[in-house]
Order: sequence, then structure tokens, then C-alpha cells
Amino acid sequence: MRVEYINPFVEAATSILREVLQCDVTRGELYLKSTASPVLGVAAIIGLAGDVEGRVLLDMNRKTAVEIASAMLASMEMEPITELNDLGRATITELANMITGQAVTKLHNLGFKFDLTPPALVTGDNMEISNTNVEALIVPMEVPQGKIEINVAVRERG
Amino acid sequence: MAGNATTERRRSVQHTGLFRTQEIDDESVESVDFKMVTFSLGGKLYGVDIMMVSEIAKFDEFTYVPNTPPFVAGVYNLRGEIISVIDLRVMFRLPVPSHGADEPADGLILRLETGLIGVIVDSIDRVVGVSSQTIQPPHPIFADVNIRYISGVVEFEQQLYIILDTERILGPELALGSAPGTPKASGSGAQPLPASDRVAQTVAGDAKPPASVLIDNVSSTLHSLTGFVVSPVNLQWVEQRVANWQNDHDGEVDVTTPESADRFLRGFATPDSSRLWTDEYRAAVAELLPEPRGTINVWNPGCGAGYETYSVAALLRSVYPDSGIKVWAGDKDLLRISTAPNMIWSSEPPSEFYLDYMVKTREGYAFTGEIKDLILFEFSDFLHGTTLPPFSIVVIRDVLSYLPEEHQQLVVRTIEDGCLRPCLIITGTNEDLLPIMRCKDVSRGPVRGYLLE
Repeated sequence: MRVEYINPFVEAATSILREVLQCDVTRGELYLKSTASPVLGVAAIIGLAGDVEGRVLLDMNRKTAVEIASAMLASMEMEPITELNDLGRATITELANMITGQAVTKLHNLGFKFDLTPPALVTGDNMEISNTNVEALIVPMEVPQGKIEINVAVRERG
Repeated sequence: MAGNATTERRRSVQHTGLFRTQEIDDESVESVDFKMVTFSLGGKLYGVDIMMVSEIAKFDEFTYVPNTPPFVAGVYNLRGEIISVIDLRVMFRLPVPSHGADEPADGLILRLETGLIGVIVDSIDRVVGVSSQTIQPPHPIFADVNIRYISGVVEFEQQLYIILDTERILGPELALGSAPGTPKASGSGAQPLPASDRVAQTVAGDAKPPASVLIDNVSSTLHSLTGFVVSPVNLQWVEQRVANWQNDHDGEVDVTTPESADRFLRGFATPDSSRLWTDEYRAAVAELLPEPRGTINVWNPGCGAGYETYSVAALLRSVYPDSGIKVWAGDKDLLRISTAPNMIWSSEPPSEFYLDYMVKTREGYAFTGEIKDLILFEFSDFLHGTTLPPFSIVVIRDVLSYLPEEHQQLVVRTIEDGCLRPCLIITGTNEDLLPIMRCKDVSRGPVRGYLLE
């Protein structure tokens, strides 16, 4: 993945998570993996188009998803949730939207034109996502609710 | 030696038979199905399968054979049968405690497929019986011996024993390695030979241990210390280096510390790495460049901090002022590649050539936006698949030598499948692409280049 794209995603993930969860966020070591990779259980996916083609995947397990959604709802003085219902799914989708949106804004400021597709949420066990021939950048984030992986796979439009 | 003249040579092998048979330990609950004779070498404990051991012996007097590798202690008359005797300590380059000349040396006589052979060790320990299920696969850090020669590691009474693979060590390959990497195998007779002929054959050999053994020793250390992989791509250089290293270090090929590994690899790196290319190197590359056809795409994996990428971009811009140029540079070292897009030179570049493509800023010299736009730096490990437009130039210097051979194959496939032929491939100065790829050597001056047609 193009070097210039990395920082906007890392910065957006850190600042948005810190903002919505009001807590300490630690980032793990960035790494690359082949895109045929298992998904933790709850994955919000947003397509990218424009100068590039690809997608961003916000990936976490079900328990983390419920706790993060609850924390976000609580900060808006709403009832926390106990299972991943419609409200919970919408909240996680919104989180993915916020992170990707901020990253794309930063990229615009650097002169790269990216467009977003509406997010989709995929849940299930033993899922695997595969794109051929694109490697994914993994930004692992650690929050009190658990682990979130931001998985960015983009390639230059040829 | 003269004082020993009266020693009866025939009695020189004293059958000791004294090793205590502690093999069946009362406490051992697991079934004992593997017995080994153990001995010490350079302070570590080793074992060999007892089925391979013909007898335990004390070697007294050898008949010295001139002009043999140093690890051949001599030949030996074992009740009428002449066998050769190898000193394992010398072979593995372990310290040899100074022996009194009259003191018989501890040793074993091993029964190999090819016949009997004697080996000298520091001292024989005993016979140990273990369950073969407790034998662990070897790990490179266990011994001073190349991992190829180890068949396993086992713990017994809080002691770790390294089990040697005697066939590997002393088998046919030793005769005069038909293995690649033997130095000038003096032309003829590189066939594996029965043990009795082996002595005669080694006599004719070089007065040094076979290079294949030395290279094996060096290669595992280099790999663990520096990531350097000895492979056909660089074997020629390594062989040459081993030979020089031996001369410089009095026959020793010990590469055990990171410092010595760096010293060993000194001279491998291509000149003009980690800096912008000099005029000489650039001119030689320029002569190899193909005719422009449409947009010229360059693949530059392992670009590190980007020096060579900028050199390539500036060179191409000067040679093809009107063509579209794109350099796809990637590295999996995030730290180095992240600095590449904004590299700044605090002092003047090594050649005036680059000044045309640079701007002077307050911090120093940087390449112009025009040059930067030709380059795309990626955080990338091509093992995960690459998406490149058809490229006609590959700059891959000193990268293959740090990849395991299966990944080298992957690079070869990526080039063969993804390139626009004829494709120019520039490798490191000491790297040879011919063993792994069907291409033509077009090297010129300091530049090692290949053409894939």
C-alpha cells in the first residue's frame, strides 16, 4: 500500500476511537497480510474508489462490538445494549464511517481523491474475506473493550 | 613421535569395553527404544545411534597421510582393515584440547553404509537409553554443529544431548562432495566412494576441508544473524569469500558473532547502495536501458529508504525525456519506506547530474515534484501478491540474497508473468540470476544486468 495512505488511516482510527470511547487507545505494530484472512466476527466494510480501488474493514469480535456500541450509546445518554441488535449494528457501522470519513478527508488534504461507498456490516462465525492480489495493511487498535483491527486494502487504479 | 617407535601398532586400538551400561534407568517409565553412545565435543554432549557404532576405541597411533584435509587424522589399521579416522572437533572447528602425544585419543568406530570409519572425540561419556518419542527436532542454536548434521535433541537426566546424523556427516558426500559448492573438485572422480577408497581420494584433495562443509557451517549462522541466504544466486561469491576468509583467518571459517557475520558479508553489498548512484554506475545502467515503448514501468522491490528508486527515476527522466515513467518501489520495512517519499539530502548530492532534478530547500536538497510524481512508494511485501502494470525494467539489488529460495522462485514467477519482454533486470553486483531464471547475462562494468526475452 502506498506509503502516503498509511498515516491518515492510523491517525483517524486513533483520534476517532479516543473521541467516541473517551478512553486510552493503544496502537499495535502495523503489519501486512495477505487479504484472504479470517475475520473476527463483526466486520464493517466500506468500499473506496477514486484514485484507488479497495476497501476498509473494521473488524472485531462480537463481545467487543457490543461493548463498544454500548459505550458509544452511553455517551449519548442512551441505554446500553446487551446483544448486537439493530441499534448496535448501526452504531458499529457509524464508527466505521467516522474513521474512514476522517481518513479520506485527510487524504483529500494531501491531494488524493478518494470516494466512499455506504458501509455494510457483516456478522458471522468463521468468515474469511478474500480479494485477490491486494495486500492488506492491518492497524491493530487496543481499547478497554477489546481489540479492533482496521484492515485497509487498496491498490492504485491502473 | 620417535619415542613411540616401540609402541606396538597393532595394539593401538584398545577395546575399552568399559562404558557403564546405565542405559536402562530404573526411573525411566517410558519405554527405552533408542540407545545412543554419548560423548563430549567442545564442552557439549553429543550422541550417536548405538546401531551405528561398531566399537568404542582408543586411537593411539595413526599413519599420517600427507596432503589431506585437516580433519582427517590419518589412516588406521583395525585388525587388518585399513580405515580412515576423522577428528570431529577439527571438522566442526571446535577447540581441540592439547593432548600429550602418547595419550591415546578417545573415539568411536562407526559402521556406515559405505564401510567403517573412525572418529575422534574429546571423551566418551556412556551409553544412554531414551524413548525415541522424547527426541526433539533440532534447533539451530543448540550446537556448534550445522543443523543439517543433527538428527535431534534429547534430554536425559537434566543433560541435553545432541544426536548427530552420522550418515550425513560422514556419508558419501564427504568423499569429495558431489554437492554444489565443492571447490574445484579437481575434475575427475567426484563419485561417492566406498570408505576404503576414501582415504586415497582425500589425499588428492585440497588441503582444506571441503568447501561444501565450510559453506554449510557459514550459511546457517549468516542466516540467523543477518538474514542472508546462501543460495545459487550468490553461491559463487560465497565460495570465493570462504576461500579468502580462510586465507585471512588461518583456515578458520568461524562466523559466530554478528560482527564477524558483518565482516564476512563485507564486500557483498553492491557499490552504490544506500546512496544515490554515482556517474559510473548510472552510465553503465544507461547503456543497458531498452528502447522506450509507451509508458515505462519499473518494479523496484526492496527499495529500502529509496536511494536507488530516486536514482532510477532521475536516470530514466534524463534518458527518456518524453516518455511516461512510473517506478513502483516497495519495501516491507515500514520505518525506512516511510521516510522515502520525503527524503532530503543535507549536503550536495554525489553527482552534479542530480542537481537538475532537485530543488534546494531550507533543510537541504530534495527531488523535484516532477521526479517524485514518477515514483510510487509502497509499504509492501510482495509475498502477498502484487498488482503491477506490465513492467519492462526490474531493479532488485541485494534482495534475492535475503530471501529463502521459495520466495526467490516467487520473484522469478512475478517477473516472468508480469513483465513486458524484453525486460531488463538489474541485480546486486554479486548476485547471479542465471541459476534460477532463464535469461541472458548483459552485465556491463559494475552493473549486473540480465535480459529476459
